[in-house]
Amino acid sequence: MLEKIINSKFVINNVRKVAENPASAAKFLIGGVVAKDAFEYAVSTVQSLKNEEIPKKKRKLMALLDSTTGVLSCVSQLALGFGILNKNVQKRMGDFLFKDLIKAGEHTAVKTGRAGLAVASSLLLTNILVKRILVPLVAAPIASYGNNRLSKQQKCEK
Amino acid sequence: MKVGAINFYTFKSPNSTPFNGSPAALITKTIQKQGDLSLLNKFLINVSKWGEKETILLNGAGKALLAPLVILFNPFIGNVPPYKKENKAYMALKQPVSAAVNTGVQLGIFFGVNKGFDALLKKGVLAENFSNVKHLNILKGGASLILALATMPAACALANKIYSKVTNKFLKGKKYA
Repeated sequence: MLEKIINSKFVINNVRKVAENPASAAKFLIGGVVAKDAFEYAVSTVQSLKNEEIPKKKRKLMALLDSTTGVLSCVSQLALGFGILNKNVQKRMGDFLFKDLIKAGEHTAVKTGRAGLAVASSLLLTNILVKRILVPLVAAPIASYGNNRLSKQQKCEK
Repeated sequence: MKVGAINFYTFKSPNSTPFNGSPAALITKTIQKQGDLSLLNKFLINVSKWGEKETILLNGAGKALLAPLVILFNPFIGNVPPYKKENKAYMALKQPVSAAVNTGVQLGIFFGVNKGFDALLKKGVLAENFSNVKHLNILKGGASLILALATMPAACALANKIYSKVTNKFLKGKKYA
């Protein structure tokens, strides 16, 4: 069964596509990170709501923080990651960074460097700048705002 | 050695001997006459070989080192409730714990999958395409991703358990205020 899946045309063709196209390789890596994030934050949100260690009234805030961070992080990683992998953006960055190698006619080195640039630019932008710095900066006040609104609504209902 | 003669997808020299060095080291060999590669160029050329393992490590490092700092020193939230100082420390501490557990679990899966697929390749179970190193690595990356997703609930639960023990020890038994 496992052999059939691994050796299926679908798997072989997709692996070949990722191997031969640097942008597809970078998209595969970002897609993997986003899939793991989406699942991790979804699980975290549910577990935060059930976490006995946190006082009941604060669980909502933790869950809101997890879900806000998860949604913002997945959307921004996909948008910016795929944006920076745009052919024109990559070509311009590559032309600038490898100008000496291009002048020297080192085509193989430039090709390999461009493949690395696609992976580095997308992963460093999404994994470090967006996910670890920008998203937490924005998610905390949004979660707090959501939490305050929820508390006000509950008070009004009472 | 002619530059164009190297297959950079398989990292093999023309006589089919696998090259164990980094891609930048292989390229530097071929362009010595034109001078050395700049540090940035070397870095980018080496990154071309990055895969699942490097992504897991980068993700873990970012979560363990950067995320707690951003939570503790976020200028947009100050120290007003619900983001009191002790609550921020409580939230920040979750990041390195969760990063350590998830990175450990995912690396364990990655190395297990690596060994498993190498064994399958030796047995001759895998299709011919996967005798290509790059194709095989992508397959390994995909398989470890699927397994990482499957074990995520268990990994998160384990992180939560360790997290409550760590908070009790380092925040002196203080609970979320």
